[in-house]
Amino acid sequence: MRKISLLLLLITCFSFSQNKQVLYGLSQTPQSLLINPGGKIENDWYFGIPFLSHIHASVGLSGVTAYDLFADNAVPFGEKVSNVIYSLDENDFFGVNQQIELLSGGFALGKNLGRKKYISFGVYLETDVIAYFPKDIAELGIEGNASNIGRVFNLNQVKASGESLLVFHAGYTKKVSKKLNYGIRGKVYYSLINMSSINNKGSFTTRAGSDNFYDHIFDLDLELRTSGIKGLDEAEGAGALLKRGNLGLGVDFGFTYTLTKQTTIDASIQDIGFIRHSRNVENYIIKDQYTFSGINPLFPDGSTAETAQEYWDVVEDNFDELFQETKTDNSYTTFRPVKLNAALRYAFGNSYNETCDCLDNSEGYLNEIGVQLYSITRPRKIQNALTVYYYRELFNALRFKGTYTIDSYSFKNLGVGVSTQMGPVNFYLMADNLLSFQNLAKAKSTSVQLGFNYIFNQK
Amino acid sequence: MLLITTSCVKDVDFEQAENFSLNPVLETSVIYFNEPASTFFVNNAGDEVAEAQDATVIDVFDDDFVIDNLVKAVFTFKITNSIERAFQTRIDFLNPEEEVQHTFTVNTVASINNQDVITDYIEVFEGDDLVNLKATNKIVFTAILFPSTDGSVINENTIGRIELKSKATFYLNINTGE
Repeated sequence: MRKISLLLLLITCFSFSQNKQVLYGLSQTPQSLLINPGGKIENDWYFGIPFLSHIHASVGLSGVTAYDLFADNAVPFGEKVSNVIYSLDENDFFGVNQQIELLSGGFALGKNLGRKKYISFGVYLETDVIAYFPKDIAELGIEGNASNIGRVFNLNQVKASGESLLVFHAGYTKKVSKKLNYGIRGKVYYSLINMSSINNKGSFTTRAGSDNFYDHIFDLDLELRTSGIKGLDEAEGAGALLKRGNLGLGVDFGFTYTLTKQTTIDASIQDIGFIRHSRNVENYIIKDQYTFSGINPLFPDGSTAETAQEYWDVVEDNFDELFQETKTDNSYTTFRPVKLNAALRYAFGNSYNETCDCLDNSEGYLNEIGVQLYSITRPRKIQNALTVYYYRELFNALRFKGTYTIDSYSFKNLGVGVSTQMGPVNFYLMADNLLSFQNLAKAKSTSVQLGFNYIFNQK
Repeated sequence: MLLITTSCVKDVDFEQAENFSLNPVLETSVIYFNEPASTFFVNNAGDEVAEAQDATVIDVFDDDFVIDNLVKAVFTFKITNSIERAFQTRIDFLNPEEEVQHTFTVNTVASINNQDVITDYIEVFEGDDLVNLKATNKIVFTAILFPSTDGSVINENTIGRIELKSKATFYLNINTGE
């Protein structure tokens, strides 16, 4: 239990949704091109500092905070657990997402200024976990079935998936005119580990019986699919680990369109893709039905048993079979979570070029406000987030963006990000759910992104 | 990491998770039957017998999980008798050495004119009784027929049935601190 609480502490405190609302559209930072390959280009070439160019971590727990469970007060812990279980529903979830860029770079094609064609590429390691709250099972666990005669405890609430993968990508951004940019990014996924248990069905019900007080109806249809785990303990060294993966393909699209001098719209869709799991696959299936009404010790009807003992043995065998899992190594396909970003932006304020002659861009305005929409496909349903933001160029090379986001986790998510340019070195740091930084135990989600790039611009 | 964890998390006590108990109450059907008098109390020759018995090993109560977490058990019986004879149901709980650890009986009065007579019975296991229950892995069921007042005997044509339903209620206290 100590380990579990420490783990909860760490993930609540150290890391933070896949939504990168602060980074999206922040075109001084090259990694904004990973969210929208049709974004604005602000450099002639860049490379990311290896392993440090983009570190993203997010953890979210919808509907509950660590504080709800672990508040230092007189309420007994068991009661807190009960309160949390009753306050959550089956759409609540726990999610972790982490990305580390191993390598990244980009360059404009051709000798002309204007960055009409731009290539960007890189490799990142992504880990993504989501687990939904199996409310019925949790309530069965704390209450038992005695007070729940007739209630159907659904097993379809058991939904969880996790994966760790390397993503190799290359993107092409094209400036068609002063008004329109578009881009495409091809991705090769190399799945290291995948676990997926999202198509579970069945139920457990205790209902009034005819032969006896109760019929206990077990209807189990559960499946866990895994790849990359079988034989993992025998793989030694990073090289062996890297030879075990499964391949997939994906693509991102995006565009930016200038409506008026001050107004732009942009949108992107990421990770339309799949991974085919055929190597090191091990799947577990539990699929059986059984109704138990007790035992008829003297007169087992419909049974070939001669004695109560034989009869009981049959009952025991039935229970053993009920929970007996079948292993398969059938290949399977997973789809990556598809992410949609869209924004409407309005720039205003003093023209930048009149006050200094520093780095180009921002259409000559110091301020920008906008509204962004984010959606992601998840096992149970699509999750959405709506962000409004204010963006400001503070000094020559310091950009600031503040965001307010409404999402599955919270209605009071304030985020902030800065991107600085000191010589050729670009550094950015972004975080959301700032209000909860005073006490992260009260946070439902937190997300942090930071990174260093080396950026070169022709004068 | 330590800095972050100590500076940004307040007013929480993770230690409390070490003393956490769940108290679910489980209910399960146990034994049942519904048979005419002749099934119990008539032998192959067609003569009345006074006792029917069977036994089964049920290694549930001496399971480690049950021993650690079961704090109370209640057995509930409902017997419906439409035979014009009184009888007794006896249930013995035996340990692996075949020694009786606990016994209880349920007396059922004779039916009049084959009308249903319903007997409800509850056996509660707490304290020493519960300890005894957790030492058992075998249950013996015995049905004992009392003599008739008018000298009549049960045969294949005797009217009436015995229906028995039973359930067990298990009160658990699952403590993570142990």
